[in-house]
Amino acid sequence: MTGAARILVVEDEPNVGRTLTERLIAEGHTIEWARTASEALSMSQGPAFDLALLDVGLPDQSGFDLAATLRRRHPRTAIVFLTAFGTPDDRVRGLELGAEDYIVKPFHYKELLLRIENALRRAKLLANAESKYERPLLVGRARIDLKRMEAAVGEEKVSLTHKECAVLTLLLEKQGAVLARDEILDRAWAPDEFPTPRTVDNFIVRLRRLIEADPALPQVIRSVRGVGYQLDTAAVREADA
Amino acid sequence: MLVAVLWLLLLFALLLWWGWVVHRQAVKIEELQQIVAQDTSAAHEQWQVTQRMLVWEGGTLLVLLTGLSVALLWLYLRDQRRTRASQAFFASVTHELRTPLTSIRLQAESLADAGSSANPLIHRLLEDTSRLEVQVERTLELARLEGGGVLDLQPLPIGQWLERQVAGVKAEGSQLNVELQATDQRDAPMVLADRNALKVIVRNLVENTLRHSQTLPAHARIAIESEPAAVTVSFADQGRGFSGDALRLGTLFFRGERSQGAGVGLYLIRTLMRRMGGDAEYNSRPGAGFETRLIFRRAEEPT
Repeated sequence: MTGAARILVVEDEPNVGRTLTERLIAEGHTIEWARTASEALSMSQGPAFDLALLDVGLPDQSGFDLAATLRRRHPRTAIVFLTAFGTPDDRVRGLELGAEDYIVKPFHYKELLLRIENALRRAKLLANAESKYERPLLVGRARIDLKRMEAAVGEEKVSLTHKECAVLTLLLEKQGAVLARDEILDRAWAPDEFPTPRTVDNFIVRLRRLIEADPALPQVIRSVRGVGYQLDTAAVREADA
Repeated sequence: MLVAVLWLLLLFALLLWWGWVVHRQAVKIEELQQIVAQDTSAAHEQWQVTQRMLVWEGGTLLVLLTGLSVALLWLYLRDQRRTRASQAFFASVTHELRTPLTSIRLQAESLADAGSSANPLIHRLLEDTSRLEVQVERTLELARLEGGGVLDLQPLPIGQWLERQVAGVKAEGSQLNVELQATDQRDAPMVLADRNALKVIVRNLVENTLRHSQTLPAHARIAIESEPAAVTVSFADQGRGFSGDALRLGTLFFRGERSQGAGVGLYLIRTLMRRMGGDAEYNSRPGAGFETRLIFRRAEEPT
């Protein structure tokens, strides 16, 4: 148990929304339940929620669009989709929007609870680690702002997901040292996601596209054959504010 | 079917007609040769008449063939549109079932967690909810695959993943006892699979075992065989087995004599396995249980 959290539940189906709210309150969390996207947006104008549980098929707006707005407004709020749309394309779209998890209806309540706990635990770990990197950094060609969870290459800005921030933070904490794939997995993934060393490799490829001048010949995040990855200390410096 | 038969009959009739026309022209040419020998101008006039007739009759044949082909294409496209529309409607209705199903499961689990777990009615409600969920998933996945849907293949530690599924079956209080053959996690094989497709496969196998078991609780055994190129997962139950033509198992809508299913489950399993680059084999003898062998492609290990 990660402790009590403030959770936004966005669900238009009254029986599902009401039961979820009651059960999560019984777990000790503080819940605000929105039945529409506009209601959710008005609730999110106050302090950031720890986690948002979002349906996709909302009456007034797609849950994907709502997630994008919430990400811009409160980057540190962990987003978990809870939806009947379960095709691989839907999942990819949800995860690319920076969601921590994507759960397809119908679900088992205990599994939902476990995945909420995992998302909250990772968000908490990330918040603790990021407090060390309050100022923006230049990593390779990208300007990384971990506090705002965004990266900029030239004029182009992109939002970083919680996982991307978690991996970057770990690489920064241990810059110069060789990081084993397992260590990276432990920091950013939950065991029930069944991550594999290949998962880390694919993830590093994505990070390299962002920070390396030539991702095919990586100089910032180097591969150490059979072990893992190493962040070059010389490629990291503080950025101008 | 009727359209296809009509098309063939018309085509046959047109060919007969064309054959008759050609035969008539051959006779005409022979007559012309005889006239040429006697009167050149009469032969020229006759030749022009014949040419006009050939143009008109050949043109008519071409117009008819083109018209029939266009009609056939239009009927085919209309049929395809209707099939797609009915598939989309069916998938959409099934999709709409997901939300009320979520609500039913959530309420039933809440009742069970609130201390009513010993109540057999709650247990039956959860069991039936699971069965309905399998039917919904089966229908949606089939509609998705038939509509050209793709899978998301990722490396997966199959041993650990199966352990978790078996634990999930136990936690649900299912009437199925599953024994997973112990595997050495250090040598756990990695396979290429789509996790959600694999969940659909396992849920179908569990549902089949429960449906065809002679006694409850039912028993099943899962074993993993690791080979250099492939990994095989065997799921064997102790049910009443299958007494019909085993080669037809896995064909769409094929049902055993005593099966209550719609003949979709085994077809879906095989289709999903093939889309993952593997295959599914079914072995069964009456009274000797039913074995499904899922053959996976091995995922390459990182260097």
